[in-house]
Amino acid sequence: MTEPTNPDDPAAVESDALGSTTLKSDDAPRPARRKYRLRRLMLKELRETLRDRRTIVTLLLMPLLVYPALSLVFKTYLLSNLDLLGGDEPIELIIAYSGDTSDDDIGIALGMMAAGIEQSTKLEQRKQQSEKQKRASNLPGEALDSSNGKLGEPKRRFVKFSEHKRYFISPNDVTQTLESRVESGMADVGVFLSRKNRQEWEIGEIRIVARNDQISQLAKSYLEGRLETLNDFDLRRRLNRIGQPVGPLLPFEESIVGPVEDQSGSFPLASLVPLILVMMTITGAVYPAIDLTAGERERGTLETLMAAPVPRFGILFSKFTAVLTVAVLTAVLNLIGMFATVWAFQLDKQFGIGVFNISVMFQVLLLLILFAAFFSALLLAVTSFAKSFKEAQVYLIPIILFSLGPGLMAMAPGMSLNGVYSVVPMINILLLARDVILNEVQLIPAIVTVASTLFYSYLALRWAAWIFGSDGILGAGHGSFAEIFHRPLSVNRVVPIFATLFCLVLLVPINFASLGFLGRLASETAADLQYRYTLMGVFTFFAFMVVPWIVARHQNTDIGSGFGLKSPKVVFVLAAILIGVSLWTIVMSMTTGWHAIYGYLFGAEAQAQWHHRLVEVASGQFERIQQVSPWVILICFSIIPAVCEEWFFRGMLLRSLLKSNSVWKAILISAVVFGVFHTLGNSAIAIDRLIPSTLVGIMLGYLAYKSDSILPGIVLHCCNNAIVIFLAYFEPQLRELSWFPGKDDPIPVQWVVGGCLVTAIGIALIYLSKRPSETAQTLSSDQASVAEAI
Amino acid sequence: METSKRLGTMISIQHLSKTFKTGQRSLLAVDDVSFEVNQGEVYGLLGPNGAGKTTVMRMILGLLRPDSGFAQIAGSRSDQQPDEVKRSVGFVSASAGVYQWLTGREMLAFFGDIYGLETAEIAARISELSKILDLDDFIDQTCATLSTGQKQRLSLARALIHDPPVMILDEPTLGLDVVGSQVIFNYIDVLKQRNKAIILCTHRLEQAQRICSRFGLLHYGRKVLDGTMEDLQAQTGKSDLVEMFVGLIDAHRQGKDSSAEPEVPQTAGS
Repeated sequence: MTEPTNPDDPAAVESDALGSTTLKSDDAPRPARRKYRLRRLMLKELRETLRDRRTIVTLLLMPLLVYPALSLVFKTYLLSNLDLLGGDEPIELIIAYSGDTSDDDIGIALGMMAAGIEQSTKLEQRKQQSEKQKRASNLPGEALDSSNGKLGEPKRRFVKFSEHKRYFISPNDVTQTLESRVESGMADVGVFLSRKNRQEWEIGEIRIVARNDQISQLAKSYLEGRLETLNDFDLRRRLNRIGQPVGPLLPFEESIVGPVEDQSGSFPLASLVPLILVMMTITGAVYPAIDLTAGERERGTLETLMAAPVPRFGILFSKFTAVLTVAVLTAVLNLIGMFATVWAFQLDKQFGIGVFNISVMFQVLLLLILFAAFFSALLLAVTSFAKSFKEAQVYLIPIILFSLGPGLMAMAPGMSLNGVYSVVPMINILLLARDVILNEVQLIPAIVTVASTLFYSYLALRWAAWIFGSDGILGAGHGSFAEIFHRPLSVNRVVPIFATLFCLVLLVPINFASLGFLGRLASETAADLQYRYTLMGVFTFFAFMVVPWIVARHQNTDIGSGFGLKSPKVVFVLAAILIGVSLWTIVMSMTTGWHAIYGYLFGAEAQAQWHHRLVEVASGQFERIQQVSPWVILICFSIIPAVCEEWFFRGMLLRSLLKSNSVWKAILISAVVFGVFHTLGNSAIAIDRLIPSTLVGIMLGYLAYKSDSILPGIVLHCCNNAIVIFLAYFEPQLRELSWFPGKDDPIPVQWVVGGCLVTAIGIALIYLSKRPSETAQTLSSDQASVAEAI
Repeated sequence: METSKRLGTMISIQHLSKTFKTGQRSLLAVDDVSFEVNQGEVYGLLGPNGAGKTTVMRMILGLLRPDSGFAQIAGSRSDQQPDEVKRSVGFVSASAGVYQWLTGREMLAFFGDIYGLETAEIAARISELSKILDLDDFIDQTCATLSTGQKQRLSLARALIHDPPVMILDEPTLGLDVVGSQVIFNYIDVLKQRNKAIILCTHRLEQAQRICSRFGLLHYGRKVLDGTMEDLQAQTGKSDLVEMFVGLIDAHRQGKDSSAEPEVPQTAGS
């Protein structure tokens, strides 16, 4: 690989050459001539990792072994399911028909017509077809005469012979419906044709009936192809008659009867490819991550490296780049292996889904790099806990098993990359990669996916840095998992930031699960809606109030100071009411502004569509809430969210952030988290809420900071939510008032100006009022001991 | 704090304490330890396993944060200027950590580089150390193929690559045979001649007795004996270190058996 000795590394000769080469043993400390070289650190980690045989094995051998094996699986799958590729016996596909048409007509429609159209250009094809017809007349079981068949056994009329497939038309049978013939297997696909005009091919109605199995779907796709040709023919004919309007092309509907076949019947290749790639990338990162942290600690090299004058973050970062490089190399090799397999075995064509070309490959690679960055940081954080190689492996097994869950979930056919899924790590990347392969990428979820994964990578790296910076890195017992789960001995004034982050991480799946659960309650009756909204309130209470409370109690935190429950100055409550009743005008006009930006970014048409969708979603929601008692609405949409969200975001989160961050940084972080949580809700309008919610979060954060209490924030939040929700609730009544703007109209300018004015007065009140002095906040020892005794 | 900077005082340890908390338990690993080491002195930091020697060394290097007290190396405090301290110290740990997949020369070059040496300097330093510590035969092999003695010599060379005024040696002869450890001790003697200030932590008490200028005996985190060999003999009435050790451990065991309250608290908190 590299030369064993390279003290003359060109990179190292960059700086001043005046350094003395005389090596006298002076006792003065060597001056810091140079900052440590990060590049050198990274190179060393990488060199060490890449020389390790075990890395090479995972890196090279895995793709070499896995993909040929995989292609075998694919092939076997194809053979067992279709029983036709490579087999000698051709399969026979029977087409049944009904409607006011005859065997001959249908034969012409489904076979001969196409040949007729292409007569002039494809002479050769016709020749072949007649040859096939000759061969076909010798086939057993085939009858050209439709009259001499027995009842129950369909007579078949030969239509088309292609490689491994023979298509027959079963004669019309008025005693049975098309559906029952297809379902019972007497025919593989059924078509109903009714003609407007017997001379011309003007068709009134076409219906296709198929079963949900491979054979029937095969016959169906043939039939569809034929009908498309018919369409095509029809179109050309109409166009030829100049002056006649071109009407709609033949519309046909299809229905599927019979039991639904096992889902493996339609193999999600486009979903499977990303999953395999992601799992392989994980595999590539695991070994170097363990080796460079727990392994180094076990061998004692970590301590000597830390005894050198290099910052710990530099060490961590160089390890991160080494792990990431190996993970990306694994990803590249696997990607090449995968695409080569797909290409060589023509899997994409045989399954008929997805695009596999260089551009797609490159995009998938970028996604894999993004994922690898996140996962490498996560792995480093976890393996840094471990004192030995074995311990690290024990920690990683559940992580890898756990990541299989979302991986398999993303394979489910109905999954789409929307609001919730676009922020769930792993699922979002898998779904986006699938969409890339299917060429169905939507911009906004894609942006959310990339941004959230970058954010998670940052969090994971910060976490790893925290562990790396702690004493525990040398095995002294700190910074281990135990630290999270052990109650501290002394009473905390605010919840430790690590526990808060842990709580935040916990809230994401809780939120996710409750949204999923609520989504299942699809019933729209008033009683069910009431039940659903109540449940929503209960979930909110549990997630944002009970969970943080448990974490805070566990961390031995004083609830009063940890959540900011002291009674505020009256002026802050006054300001909160002023802002609470006026802020909605600003937020609503901001939404209008965002729509303008959206239109500017994606074009007026996209904006109109977007707006239309929003109005639809909104009016759907309006209709739903209008069925429920106003008290339920008040409690579930105003009071519970206000109390619970303030409890967590401005109570626990902001206050623990304030401990180690500057005021505005803490307010901003808590506001962004608040904003992001609001996008988790409804998929269609989710992203719209990010910016307004974040700004409201900043306002609430500032209020909570200045008043040193969450209570004014609860008042503000409550007023704001109540106004917004009741504007929707009483929308029909309000609409009748002459002075109230209509549903689609923007808010009148004077309203917005008035709203801004009142809000500004509120902000000024907050700004001018003093924060309660720091001395007043400190816990007296009495309180502390009481808190401990609880 | 007092800044008694006698001429030649390279290492000054002032009232270091450290408690490890593991969940509900907390362990007082180092309890108010102070000592000083001058140029050309080897300070033997001795004690049974678990006495807190390694923790003291890690705090000197700034690898662990002391709960109270501080360590000052060549005028820099390890809690305030950790990088200055690390640059002044050569550290050899018991585990003789070497990178499995790098050659000895690559490893030395890497450390020379992160200690801020010039390329030419590094090459000169490697050939010098290679001569003194007899590394020539194996310096271009990957470290995975080296014997324990070779690894330990390489580790010592690694600690010396930047020619630091202070050496901290944490059991540098662990796992070595008599001949192997003799090589190391001989070289420590050389370093002493070259006016380095050295903290040596070892269980080879006979050699320590021969080589160390002064001693500090740690027991359960407390420094129980301190001074030159003569001082120790006067304090304990025993002639050599082995006897002093055995006496120390016996005394502790008796104290534990006879009274409910041990003379040295091993845990704090509840």
